[in-house]
Amino acid sequence: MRYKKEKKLFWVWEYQEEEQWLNEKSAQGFQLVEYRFPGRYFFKEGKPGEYLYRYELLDGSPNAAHNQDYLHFLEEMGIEEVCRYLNYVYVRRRAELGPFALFNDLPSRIAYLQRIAKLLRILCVLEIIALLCNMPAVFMGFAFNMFVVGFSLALFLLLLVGLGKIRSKIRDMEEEQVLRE
Amino acid sequence: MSADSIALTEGVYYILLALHQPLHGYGIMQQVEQMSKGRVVLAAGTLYGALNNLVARGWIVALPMATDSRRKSYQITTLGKQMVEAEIARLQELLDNGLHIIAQEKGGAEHEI
Repeated sequence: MRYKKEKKLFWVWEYQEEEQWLNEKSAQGFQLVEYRFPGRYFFKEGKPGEYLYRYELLDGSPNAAHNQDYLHFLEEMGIEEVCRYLNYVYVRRRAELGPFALFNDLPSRIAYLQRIAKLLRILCVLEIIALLCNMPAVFMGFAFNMFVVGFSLALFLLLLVGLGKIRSKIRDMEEEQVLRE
Repeated sequence: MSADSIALTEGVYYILLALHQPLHGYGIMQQVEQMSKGRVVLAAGTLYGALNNLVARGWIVALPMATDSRRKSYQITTLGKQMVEAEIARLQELLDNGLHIIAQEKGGAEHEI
């Protein structure tokens, strides 16, 4: 049995691109077995196109009782957990059962995007805290802290862009919801 | 929320209909798909969220689990049945008004010809 490791980075808001990439890997015969931060994917060679993959940012730790209940519910529906990282879980279902999504109506898709937006807002606040904590040392001329501030600022701006993209998707869905379910 | 001021989503309406008999998650999904002739397919996360929401509102209830089963089953409550009846009345009104206007327009068009 052949194993393969690949490195690829996706931003939090690129969840559809990440799922698509994992499904392309599956179509090539490489089934995901593990994910390690940052962007390290481990695949096991298997039957091409055997599984379809999705991943989800859970509301809290996967070990929390409500998420254990949810993961068990997914299992009942033929969706198995592959691996997890922090509050993320990677799941899959046998492709022969047909295409599958975790959320397919507007209210639940909006609620999911709001969960991602919440994470981005928390990360933005953490970046601001990192910025503020390092500012006094920057004024004293410490090079390392200047680097940290620069890095935090770049990350903060990138997170803002991501947050904007997610908010725009939410707005589009809310407008659509006015016309249809 | 009063029974006459609510418009249920298509998914919730079908879940409530399916739960006129006790069913677990997978059973609900199959029943809804069957009732709608494959048109309404409930995604797992959507269904899970809807079930929790309906339990919290008291429209459905989670049944005590059998010791040899790990599957949770649900059933509609009296309040849930009232909601379904209110929704049917709302849908009937939509249908009646729609048919009435269309029939009027068709009648008018025939006279014009």
